[in-house]
Amino acid sequence: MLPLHTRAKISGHLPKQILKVLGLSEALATELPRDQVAIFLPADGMSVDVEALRVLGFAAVVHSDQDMLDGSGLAAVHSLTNPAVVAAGDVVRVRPDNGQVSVLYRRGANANTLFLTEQCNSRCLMCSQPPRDEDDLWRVRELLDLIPLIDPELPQLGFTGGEPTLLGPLLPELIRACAASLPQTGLHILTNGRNFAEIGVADSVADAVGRATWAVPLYADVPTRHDYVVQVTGAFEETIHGIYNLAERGHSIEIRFVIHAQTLPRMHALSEFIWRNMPFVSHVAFMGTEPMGYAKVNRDLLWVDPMDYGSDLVKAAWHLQDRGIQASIYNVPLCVLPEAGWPLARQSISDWKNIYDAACDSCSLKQRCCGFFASHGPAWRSRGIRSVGYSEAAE
Amino acid sequence: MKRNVAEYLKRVLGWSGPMAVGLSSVWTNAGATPVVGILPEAHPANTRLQPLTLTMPNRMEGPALFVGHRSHSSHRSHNSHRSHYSGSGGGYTSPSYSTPLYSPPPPPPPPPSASTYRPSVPVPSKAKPTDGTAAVDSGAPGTAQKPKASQQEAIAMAMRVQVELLRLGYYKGKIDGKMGPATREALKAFQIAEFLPPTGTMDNITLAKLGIVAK
Repeated sequence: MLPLHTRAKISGHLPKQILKVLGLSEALATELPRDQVAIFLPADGMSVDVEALRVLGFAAVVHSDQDMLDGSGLAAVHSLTNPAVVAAGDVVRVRPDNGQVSVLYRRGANANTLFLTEQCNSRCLMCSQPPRDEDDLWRVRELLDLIPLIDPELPQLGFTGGEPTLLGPLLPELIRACAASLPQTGLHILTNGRNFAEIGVADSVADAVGRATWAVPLYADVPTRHDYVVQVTGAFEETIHGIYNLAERGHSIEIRFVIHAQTLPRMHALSEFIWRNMPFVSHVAFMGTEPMGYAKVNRDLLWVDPMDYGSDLVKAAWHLQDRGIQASIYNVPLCVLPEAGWPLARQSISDWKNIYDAACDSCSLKQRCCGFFASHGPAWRSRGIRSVGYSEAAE
Repeated sequence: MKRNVAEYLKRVLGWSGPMAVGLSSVWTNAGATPVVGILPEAHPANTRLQPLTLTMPNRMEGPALFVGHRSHSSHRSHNSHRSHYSGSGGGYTSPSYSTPLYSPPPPPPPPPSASTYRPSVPVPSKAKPTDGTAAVDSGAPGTAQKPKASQQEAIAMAMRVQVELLRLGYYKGKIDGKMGPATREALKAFQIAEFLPPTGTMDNITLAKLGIVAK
């Protein structure tokens, strides 16, 4: 798994902190403003006159050795601690003060996600990204600089947080920024949907229609259990209203269900509830718990061995799939999932979720299995993890 | 029964006698027979100055129609031919009457001496550089308004050519954006290999063959 951060030495004055890193050929052809483009010069690559690049108005060069510094006055980001982190096509944030280089957008990554805010109005028991109540409007400003530098060929871009609707009018602004510079890119926005219970908020995101899918978590068909899981009284009602308000305005909606001991009792009832009351949803995702954040603290409250819920999960997922609502199972390894559920099991698209156990090395299903979260540890290891042989998989 | 056409038109359309006479003379020139009964109903709203439409060019002359041509006169005469109804056999109900296009006069064709090249645009092929390079051309006196931008574009274009020539193995030198002897020799070698005239200049065909789409 390639990290997103590294350190570098920086010489010269950087005109911007957010930079699009491009190979020379692409940089010369790009329509982007040159003062936002840094030229990526591989160590074994061509010999380039840096002075000419400065005349052309480029922001900086990114390279690995120091020999190329020739006092041309063009800023240079060099001597990267981990040179593999940055590649042509990426968008990076370079901090001149401490030399931190962070990849904000990685070309070719299987999932690119924008982190909108750390604030949230729920406190879910299994939250993998515990909220912090800090003023992080700088993130939005940075994203508005970042979005125009993302490759417009990108098929899918995620919005995550935090609860993005807490940004108020800035969320529609971000959606509009994506619509303007990434017209072909689908957005996948994680929200608890509660603020969309207000008509005005639901109206404000009209630009997302036809462009975004709202991924809204729903943990039960009844308020008591859902409100307990998200630790907010009244959250169920707000989320339901929010889902209907979005659907009424033509938005695409995905329901997300996280599987653990506190949600399992209503899992099948929720499938029935969605089919009866929300036939418009485009996708229902059943997801194994990620052992991160609050989930680690609440491990004993949440832990169920997937071996013990596998058959219930498969039934609940097929209950929807059989009724015409696309259902998917994420983060449950195939060896602990009954074979009936394999057609619905998806490999995670996120880099940090494709970690494998020692037992997986000889498994014939490894190529199509979701594996484990990077944070997976012995406390979260199912007793059923094993290698599946070819003959068994073929049956 | 013989009708007095001029009288008829004067009564129906309110035209003055001389104008109506002129009208009939135009018809005569066109070799067509007026179908008097149809004319007034056809375009009651467009009776004003109709005859003039027939003798004037009724189409705007835009520069795009005459790219690369010096003489416009022959085209104008074609236009006016088209607006006569010589071939129509007298069907004067044609709606072509309804659009007398008195367009503003077209912009004059560019005088050959003044350069109209915009600085940021590479030299178009019609002004193929005779010697030197695009860098030399775009630095010509005509582009003196924004010399810096044009110079930047010339360097960028030369660098792109060098990068492509390097990738293809024709060029081994430094990517410096200067069309020096080594770059020109590499470009010539590429042009020979592509069966192009070995000029050593960055003309449009060569740029296209290099995969550099001139903007």
